[in-house]
Amino acid sequence: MTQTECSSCHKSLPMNGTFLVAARVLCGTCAAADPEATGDPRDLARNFDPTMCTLCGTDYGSSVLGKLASGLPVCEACREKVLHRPFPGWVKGSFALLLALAMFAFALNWRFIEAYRNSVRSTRAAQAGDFATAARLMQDAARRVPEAAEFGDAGSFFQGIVFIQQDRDADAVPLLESYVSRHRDVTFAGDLLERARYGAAFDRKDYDAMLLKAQAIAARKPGTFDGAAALASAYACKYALTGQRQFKDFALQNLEAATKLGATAEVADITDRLEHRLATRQILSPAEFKKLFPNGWRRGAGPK
Amino acid sequence: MIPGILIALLTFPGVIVHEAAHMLFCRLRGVAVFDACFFRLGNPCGYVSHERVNDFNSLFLVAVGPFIVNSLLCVVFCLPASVPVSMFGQQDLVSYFFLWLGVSIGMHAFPSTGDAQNLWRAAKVGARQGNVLAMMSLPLVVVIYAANLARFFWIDYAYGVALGLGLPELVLKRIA
Repeated sequence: MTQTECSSCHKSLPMNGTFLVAARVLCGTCAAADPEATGDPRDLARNFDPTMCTLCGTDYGSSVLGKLASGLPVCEACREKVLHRPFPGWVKGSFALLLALAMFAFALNWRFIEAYRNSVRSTRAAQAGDFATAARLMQDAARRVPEAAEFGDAGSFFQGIVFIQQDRDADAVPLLESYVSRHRDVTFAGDLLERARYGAAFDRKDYDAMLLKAQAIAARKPGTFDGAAALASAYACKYALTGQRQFKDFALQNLEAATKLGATAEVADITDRLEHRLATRQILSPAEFKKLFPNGWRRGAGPK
Repeated sequence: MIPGILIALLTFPGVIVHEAAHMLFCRLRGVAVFDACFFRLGNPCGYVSHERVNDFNSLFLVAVGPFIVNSLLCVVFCLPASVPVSMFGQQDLVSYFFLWLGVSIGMHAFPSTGDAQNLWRAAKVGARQGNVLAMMSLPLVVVIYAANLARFFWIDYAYGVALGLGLPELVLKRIA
């Protein structure tokens, strides 16, 4: 134990019982009465004996102890205890258990995370016009989370569009019908369904049904290129099949309307094809026509 | 007014993690811990009594430790549950348990009033003395201090919910 003297009353006393007031060592009584100690309380600090452990109070005689970062002298045992204070077993145990549970839940719910991620990527692909990727990703999301019916519906919808793009309208019809039955408010899907039904009727050479579907398209989208073009194509087919003049007239009337309503590229494509159909009474699908006349058909030009 | 003790009771995992984080950073920075209580029904409902810290870096880390650890664990516990519950409407008890756990932990992320005040004082002193971390952390300390005051308006709860439910969705959208 270290003895020290109060700089005010000069009484000798154990260092631990003294205070530091503005760098002067004072006993408790003098420190309380000191005018300098009444200012900032941070000026008054306990004085610590460097030979006595502040925490366990053990007196190490004249041996000076190591200090903590705050300057408190402590013995080695106490230093170890306060610097490496262990976490209680229940804290460590429950934390480990919860972390294990979280990992289990993570593994269990991973399918939701993957499905959500794929659905976002699918939507982005659809917005970029890549419906094949959109369909694949959305169908994957639907497979992972079958509870989410909207993924299955969206997957069918995107796949339906892919089939239409591949001229496989008959394959697109059931997928789009399934989607439209649950999403009657999505007008665009209804339009696509009519478009697929119309294409499917053309594919199976049922031109009466094709005309009915063309009329349905024209009724859904009056005064548009799509409606007029569908009617022109259907009447051209009817003319090719029957040779009746009235069908040719209707086809030409609607073709003229479509020409006024459509964009240059789509007008050029359908005009060439329908003029060929009306002139030759030969019905070719867009793919067949493209294959036969890669540079377009003009009356008298004939096949390449 | 809902008593603080009731909130602490309902969100006790957050209190435990908050105090454990204080202690963890004390150990990492070599700050002596004299006593620790991880949870109790009283005011405060948890505490870590440590030696006075003069070094700003240590003071900053010990005070902000719970903000780091609680925020991180909030996301870890909420992530597996937030996607099925908030995005797919799944209603299973395990997911709800993890959401409660995560949000409870997240809402105790903010340093306590005492810690915020100490940090604010030390940051001002440190910045005046040219401590780079103190200068850089001053805006963060201001936010923490303001957030601490805004606890009255349940900003701590809002933070837990936003972190636990909002962040996973945001992150998943970003990485998708």
